[in-house]
Amino acid sequence: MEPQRQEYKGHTIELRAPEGREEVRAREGREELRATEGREEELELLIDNKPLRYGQLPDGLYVLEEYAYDWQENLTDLARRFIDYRDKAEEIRREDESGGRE
Amino acid sequence: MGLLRKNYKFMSDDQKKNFVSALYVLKNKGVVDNFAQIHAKWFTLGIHRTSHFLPWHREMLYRFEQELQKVDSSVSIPYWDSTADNSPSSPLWADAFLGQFNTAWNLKRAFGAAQGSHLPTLQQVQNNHQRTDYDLFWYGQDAQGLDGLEVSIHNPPHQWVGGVMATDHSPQDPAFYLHHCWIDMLWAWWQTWHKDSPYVPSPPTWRSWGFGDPLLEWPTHYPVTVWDHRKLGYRYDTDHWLAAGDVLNPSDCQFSLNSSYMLLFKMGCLQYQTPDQKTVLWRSNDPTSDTGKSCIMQSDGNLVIYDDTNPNQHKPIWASNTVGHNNSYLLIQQDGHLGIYGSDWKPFTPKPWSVPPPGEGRPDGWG
Repeated sequence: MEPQRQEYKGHTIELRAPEGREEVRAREGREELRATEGREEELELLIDNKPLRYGQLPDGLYVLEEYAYDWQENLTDLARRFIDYRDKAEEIRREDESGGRE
Repeated sequence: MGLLRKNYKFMSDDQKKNFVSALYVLKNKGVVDNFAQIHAKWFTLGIHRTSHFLPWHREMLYRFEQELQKVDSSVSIPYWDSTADNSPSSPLWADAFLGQFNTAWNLKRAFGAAQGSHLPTLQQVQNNHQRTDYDLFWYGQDAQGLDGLEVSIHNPPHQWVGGVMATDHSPQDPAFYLHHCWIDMLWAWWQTWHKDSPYVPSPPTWRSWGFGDPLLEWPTHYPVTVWDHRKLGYRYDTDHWLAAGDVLNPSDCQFSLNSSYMLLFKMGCLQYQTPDQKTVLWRSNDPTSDTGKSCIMQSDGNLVIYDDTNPNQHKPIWASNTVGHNNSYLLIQQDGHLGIYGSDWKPFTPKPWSVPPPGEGRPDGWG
């Protein structure tokens, strides 16, 4: 996986080299999702400049902490699917609130 | 005595209230959040996409159910069959049941928000059920490239509910437990049909996933210790038999293996009927009231309905009169036969008591 930056539906998806593995772990305070022994050096995933936690399942598929049941081989594909989900979810919640539904 | 896990649709209002109340107690004690943390901790470390997927979640549900039982011993985890109950307007999501938690616990549900979000179909479940090998059942792709249980049946309801249920902390949403109870039921159902099919471990990555390899968070428990759900002390309404000590409480039911027949304990009597409840094939006695009634499959082989309305009396109001057939089973056969069978699963000769299939007359031994 190479560092990259792309625009998607008005959002910016970025994969970049971490500031330093130990610094990232110390800052995020949680390494379980990243505990992928034997895997390639991981990049940071950011959407709109906000880091998003991700990990890899035993067979290598990528998973996001906030969107954990859509497993993809390509991390940027997964980021795009997450953006679609998050935008749609916000739209549904707004409709529910305006319609008085729970 | 086996704890009954059943479709939430067959829960009485009181049973739903008790379940909801117990959940609030566990939330206040931090148990709900603790289980969610455990799930998140191991999410990518072997509880998904390995052969530990089903055993690990069975152990987790069992432990959570034990916590519920400490609060209220009458409570068990119900299941949500998302092939049949597939609308946000379902009673499942009513404020009186799981709906209330969305606001109370800030779950941010957003039904159907995920891309291509759809719930599994009955056809998918039935097709997956035909797979004869454990690894194909939970994981493998078939000749058409269709995924096994975990991806095609387990993942979609998580995504469909959305919000917390779609995250690695999904056990913060009570829907997690009803959904995983259904997944566990499908596994138990599959095991009944494919009882000679052994556990097949995933290829080793950085761990081994064998039958005797620890269930991660619980290192003294293994797939082998959870393989038979009955040995954990619970049964499903789809189990199609009652063993010695099993009890039916009001509104409890058991189905035949093919779900064509249903034995329902309601209004103080046993009703043997079609699942749509339109056709009653047999009734044990005249309906009364549910209060204080229970039906037990006794270790002496007798199936008895008791009236415990008066706590000083343990009064039988109906019995199959099959005393002496120790440790026998009440079995609901796929062809509609309902009866007492021996510990070898074979019928007694002559039959001590049975209800024949539709169109074959009155029950044997039933006057």
